[in-house]
Amino acid sequence: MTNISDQPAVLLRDVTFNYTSGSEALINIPFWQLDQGERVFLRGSSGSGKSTLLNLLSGMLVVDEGQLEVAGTALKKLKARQRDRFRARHIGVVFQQFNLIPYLSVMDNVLLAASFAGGLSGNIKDKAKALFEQVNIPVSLFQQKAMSLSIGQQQRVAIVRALLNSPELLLVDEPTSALDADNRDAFMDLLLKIVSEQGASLVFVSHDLSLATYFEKTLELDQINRTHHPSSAALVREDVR
Amino acid sequence: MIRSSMFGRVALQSLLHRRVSVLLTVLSIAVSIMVLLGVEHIRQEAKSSFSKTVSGVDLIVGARGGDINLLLYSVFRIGNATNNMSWASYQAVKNHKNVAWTIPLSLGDSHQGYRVVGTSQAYFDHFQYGQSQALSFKQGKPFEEVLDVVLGSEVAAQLGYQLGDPVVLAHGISKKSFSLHDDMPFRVTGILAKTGTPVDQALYVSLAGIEAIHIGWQSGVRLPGKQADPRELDPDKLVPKSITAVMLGLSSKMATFQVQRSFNQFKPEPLTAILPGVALSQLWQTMAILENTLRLVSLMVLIASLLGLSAMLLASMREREHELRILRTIGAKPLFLFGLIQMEALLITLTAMVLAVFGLLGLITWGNAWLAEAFGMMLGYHFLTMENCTLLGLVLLGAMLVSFLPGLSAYKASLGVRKS
Repeated sequence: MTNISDQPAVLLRDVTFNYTSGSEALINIPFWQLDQGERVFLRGSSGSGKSTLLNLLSGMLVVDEGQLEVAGTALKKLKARQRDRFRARHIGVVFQQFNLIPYLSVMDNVLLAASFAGGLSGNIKDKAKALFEQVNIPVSLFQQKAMSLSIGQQQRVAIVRALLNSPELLLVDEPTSALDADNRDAFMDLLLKIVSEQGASLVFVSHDLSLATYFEKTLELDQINRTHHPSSAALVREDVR
Repeated sequence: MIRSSMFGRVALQSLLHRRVSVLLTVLSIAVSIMVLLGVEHIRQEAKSSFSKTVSGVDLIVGARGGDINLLLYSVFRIGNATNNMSWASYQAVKNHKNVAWTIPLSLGDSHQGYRVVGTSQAYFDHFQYGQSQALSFKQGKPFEEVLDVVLGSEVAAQLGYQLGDPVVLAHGISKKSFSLHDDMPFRVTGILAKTGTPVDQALYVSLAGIEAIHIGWQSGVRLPGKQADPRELDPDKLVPKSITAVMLGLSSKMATFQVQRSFNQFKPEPLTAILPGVALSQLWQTMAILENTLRLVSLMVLIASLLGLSAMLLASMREREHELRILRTIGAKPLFLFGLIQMEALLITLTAMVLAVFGLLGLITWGNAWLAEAFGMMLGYHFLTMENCTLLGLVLLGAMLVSFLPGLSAYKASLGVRKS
């Protein structure tokens, strides 16, 4: 068994991927590494392959070529069901919106994630409650249906769900795009505080550069992704001409 | 444990979330299961009550004619005999060495639409129904005098007769008969206990009584000035010239076919002898087409509603895209999603089944009042027979089968952003 803490949180080497085989790669990353506990702001315009990269990192998609490791584990080498289990245990994901199952209670949403990780032990509820307290979700909301919460509350519950299994890696995709400015700032403060407390590595993806101020490290996706895909910028230029 | 309960909870909450469309689907399946169970139940009840109409009778003999026709008019009192058998032939049947007892039957008169059966004391002694149950009297006793009448339970109940009441019989079997035997009123001496068979729907008088009311009648018309005085009737002189049919019991069952053959080949007069059991099953056979058509229709209704279930689940897949993606993201296996859809189909079908069972119970309770009045029959409540439970099992299996498609769609969608 590899000692996870010695490994970088994410390691990509000569990774290529495309949805349709044969055509030019959408993702072509010669090398990218994210250290344990490191937090990075990854900026990319829409169509730059952000979502695809996140899907690769979470194991929803598998690379065509090259090496992709999360916490020392090569996702490609896992069987599909092992990959699902690995994702449940080691990777937390927060989307733009629609993070929760609308008809389940706040508590069930969180416990469901724990159950997929196989960690529905007695104290998981206490852990969930502690995390809820940290993100200001009052006890009165625990049994409320997720859909009855405000978007800001939903996003905070999503953080709890993503972090409940103490994942090594947290993937966050435009989590604030549906929030107003005040909520956005509060959310960012909360997220970074709780992530650093948990010691998780964070990949924060957004097109909104103003959020970069929260991070010590900012990366353009185009810097690491060497593919010559028709980015939106390129398309606009062509139109003008 | 906790995991599987989580699984059930997700399925249940998901259904509650879409409760309107789910409820409609549940109702549609419940109705179709109710139709299916109801048809099966009525069929089984009819068949069993049918085969219970007569018991302990080894042969029925009548004038030459169709087997089923003989059964219909002698046992079910439906239709008419084309011919009577002569009194001499009856005596020959009665005196056959293997015949232990006989019940003569003389039909053709009625009272308020209920058939009148001319017979003998033997009817109350030997006729049996159900599982060899003998007839018993709720009130009173068998007829003794020429103008005594015994009522079937339904006749007494429907027409409100008490012991000692006078009853005027009508000539012919029409409910609106104008030829009344009003010169010879009968007196109620007994009322039979309920049997749930055609026995309940008839009046019983002695053969002498039938003879007495027809004194002075010719070809169904009363001849003026030829009536007898009811006070001067002599039972010994009232011997009929013919009867309609005779039920009989044999001293040895081994001889049944031999006796049947000897009556079928009876020289002085062409007769037909039938085994009631065989004729009953022949009669039931003639209803097979109706029976199968009903079953087919109820099956089609069920298939239609199961397809509706499939369509409902499939249609919900689009609105559940986010949900499926979330489940995948937090680590659900594609098989979990497939199972989730199957679980939902299972819950819907089970709920529908419970509804259908209670619905049918209610329907039987409600319908029995009407059935008892119109047909003198009641449906039992024991429709959850082994056979019908197997049927329910098959319905469940069918639901799993039709939800395979939406399940597969969830499974595929859950593979998510897939390579083409």
